[in-house]
Amino acid sequence: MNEELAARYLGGDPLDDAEVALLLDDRAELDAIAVLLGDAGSWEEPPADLEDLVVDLVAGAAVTARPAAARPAAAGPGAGVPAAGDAAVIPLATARRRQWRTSLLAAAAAAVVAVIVTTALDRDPAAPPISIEVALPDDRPGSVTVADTQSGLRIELHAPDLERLEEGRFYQAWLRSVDGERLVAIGTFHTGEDVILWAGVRVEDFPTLTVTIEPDDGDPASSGNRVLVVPLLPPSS
Amino acid sequence: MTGAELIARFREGDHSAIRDLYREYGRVVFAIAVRILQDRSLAEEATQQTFLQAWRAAESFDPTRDLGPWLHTIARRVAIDGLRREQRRRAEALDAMSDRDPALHLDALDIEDTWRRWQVRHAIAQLPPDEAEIVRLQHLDGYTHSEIADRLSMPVGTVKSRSFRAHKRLVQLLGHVQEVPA
Repeated sequence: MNEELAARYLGGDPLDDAEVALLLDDRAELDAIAVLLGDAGSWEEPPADLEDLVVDLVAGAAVTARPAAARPAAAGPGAGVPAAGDAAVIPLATARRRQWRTSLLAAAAAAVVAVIVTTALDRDPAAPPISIEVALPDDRPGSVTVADTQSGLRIELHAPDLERLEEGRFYQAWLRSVDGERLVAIGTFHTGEDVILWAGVRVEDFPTLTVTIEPDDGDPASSGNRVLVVPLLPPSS
Repeated sequence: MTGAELIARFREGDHSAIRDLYREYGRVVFAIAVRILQDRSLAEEATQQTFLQAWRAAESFDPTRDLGPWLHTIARRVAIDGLRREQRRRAEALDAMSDRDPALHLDALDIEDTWRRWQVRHAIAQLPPDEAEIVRLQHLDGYTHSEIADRLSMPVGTVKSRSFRAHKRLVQLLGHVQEVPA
């Protein structure tokens, strides 16, 4: 391609017949480029803060992936990853997005749990686009995954160290309010393996998952016999 | 920094490498996401997820290959997955969408389309700001050189020379717009 002629053609300069003939084979390609140069989509600019959001998100995921001993003991300016013992907190990217997902991805201050952002790309295609996986406290095996859906909060609990309950007892999961004064019952189950729970409340309003052992006496109130308490959001959210 | 070095440091979570990769491709990823999702807010999410997915896949990236096609594949897949989720979400609230619904067969999903747009957006991002502005005023806003000179309060000759430099640069970058890489 004759670059000089092509540049003049693309730039809208009039060409004589001889010059046009020289460009014959390239005109279609140049016309296609011109169409895209005139398309608003070719000039889309992301918001200025998206760069920092991406950096924080990826850097945070990288810190989480490292062995606990390799994580930095203290975060320097801009690293945004304060450590608390072996449970490093990942500052999640903040984005201007709909409703509660903003809070799920809010930047974190120091906290006790490690938070990993996952996406539905790695999971069931019917799962919502953004979810949070929270490790259980005290190094217990398992995790809690919270995801927003059209039907409400979908909470996957995997707590394999909860022994199976039968004979008049069961586990009850609750969401506890920010002020600790209110409980919302979200489901009962026999073991902690792959439990799916649903809640019709906002996680910002009820940010703590608790599990109690309940007798099958028909009393809807909590027994207070807690076997698991999992903060779903960092304290600063 | 070579592509292999950038990817290696990116994989380690090196802030400067992540930033470098974003500065090279962030605009392009975002533009493709907007094209497919038709929503800037969703495109922001998709852009973040694209770089996160790229980080996860970085170990398997062949450093001898060009980063662009690899990242384009990830960006496109992330955006299309987001589009499908949004369509399912809307379908759950409304009557079920017909399989023949045009929304399910957007031209925007065509890989040739997205790759071509990727290359053009990437080329625009490599222009100096003053040249990019003139190209934008010419092609997007449809101004003549004289009108641009008036708007920017500069001589027409300056506009023409910048326009020529910009378009020559674009031709060099895009002169043989690549077929979709394998």
